[in-house]
This record gives sequence, C-alpha cells and structure tokens, in this order.
Amino acid sequence: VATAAGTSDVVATATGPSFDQNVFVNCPFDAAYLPLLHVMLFAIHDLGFVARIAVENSPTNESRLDKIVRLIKESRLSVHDLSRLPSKPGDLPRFNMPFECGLAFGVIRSSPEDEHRDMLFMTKVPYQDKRTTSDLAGFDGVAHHNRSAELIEAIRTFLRKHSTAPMRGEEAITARLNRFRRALPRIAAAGEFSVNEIKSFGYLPDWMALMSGWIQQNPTES
Amino acid sequence: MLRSSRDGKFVDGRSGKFADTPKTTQVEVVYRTYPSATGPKNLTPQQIKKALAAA
Repeated sequence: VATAAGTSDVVATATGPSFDQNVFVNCPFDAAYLPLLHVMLFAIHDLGFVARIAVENSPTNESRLDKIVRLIKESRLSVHDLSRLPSKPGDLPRFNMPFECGLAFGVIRSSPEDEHRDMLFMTKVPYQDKRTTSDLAGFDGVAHHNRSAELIEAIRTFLRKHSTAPMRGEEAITARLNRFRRALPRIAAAGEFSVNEIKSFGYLPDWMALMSGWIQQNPTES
Repeated sequence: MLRSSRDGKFVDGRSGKFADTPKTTQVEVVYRTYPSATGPKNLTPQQIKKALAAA
C-alpha cells in the first residue's frame, strides 16, 4: 500500500489489526514510578485500549531501540510522561523519555497518510514543559502532579478524543483498579507467586497479563 | 569549553587560545534497563490462567 519511498514499513504496521487500539507508553521505568505506571496501564486497558510498552515480551531478539521504534509504529496513539527531573544536585537527567517522545513525533510527521496518529505528553506541574522541552511550544502538556486521579483523568480525556465507545469516568476506573488490587492476593495464591513479586518491576509483563485478563473477566463495574 | 572557529580550529572558551583538536570530557553514561525485555515471562500462560480463575 506504500505510496512514498521510505514509508513502506510504517504503512505495513499501521494497517495491523490492533493498530487503532494500541497506545505506546513512554515513561520512567523504575520502582519509584511503578505505582503510577500500574495506574496508567490499568486505565488504558479499562478504557478499551491496549498499552504497548518497551518491557513487554518480544517474540524476536531485536535491539531495545528497534523494539521501541516498532512499538511506536504499531501504535496509533502514544503517551509520554516527561515529568521526571533530577531529584537532587549531581543526578543526571533522564533523556530517554524526551528522546522517545521525539521518535513518536517523527513517526507522526513522517506518516502524513495516517492522519489519525496522536500523542499526549504529561508533566508533573503545569508549564514544566515550557522550560524543559520548549520545542513542543504549541502543544499543551497535561500536569498530573504525580496523583493517580489526575493521571487517569489525563489519559481518559486523551483517549476520549479517539474513541466513540462509552467510557467510564475516573472514579469508576479507580474503583475497579482497587477491586483488582484487592483480588491480587487470591490471584497470587492460585498462581503460586507472592503479591510482592507480582507488584515488582521484574514481573511487569506478568502483571500486565493478569490485569488485562482480569478486566476481560470483569467488564462491568460491580 | 571549546567553540568552533570559522577556519575549523577550536577555541578554548576559557583561555581564548586556538587548539587543533578539541579536548575531550569524560561523561558517565547511564542506561535504562528493561528487565524481561526479550526473555520469557516469569509466569507461564498456564499459571496466568489458573491465577485468573481464582479472581
């Protein structure tokens, strides 16, 4: 279907069956951010989309950067959390998030035939992006203040623009996330692993599998 | 600190003297890690299915 040189691989992946539902997630990958990451991943799936993330298992032995580029191309939407700044003097800034945000922006701009791609970027406090990534002038970042409710609301508002399906509100999503958390001890016991293990960063792909499976099993709030 | 001059040489930003080659600065590089990025999951599909059955 490619019509222009250099865009064939983008077009090929953009027509995949799950392209419309895929949301590439770009955020800090560490224990400090993990609670917010769990919230974000749950919200994306509970709103009918599929989170694509660099720690998910890959069928091939591709490089990290190739994998990130592939996931961006395979996703119609992307969410970029640019909130992380050095916490104390001497800490180095983390360039991965703005770098991957730039990659996603490049894919959007280089795929004019695919006008439905879109991206959301978030910061910790309002106007933080005006100082840290001023090249994004004209795009409004959303501040989540490291609060789960504001993070869910930002994700929901963004995905709302790209879906005609009914979407539950932030409070309902939070209530369902708490239900899933309360079910985790039973789930862990049945699977013969501990709650602490499944909530750790090393088990994130497994947590995602359980989370998405639980949402499919529990499509309604009550 | 080094700045490029018009003739391709470099100028030491502090002393203002020309130098043929730029000085190098060692920078510590920190890589982000992705546990289980390409390896198998910690849990098998059977374990996932069994665990969800108890939810």
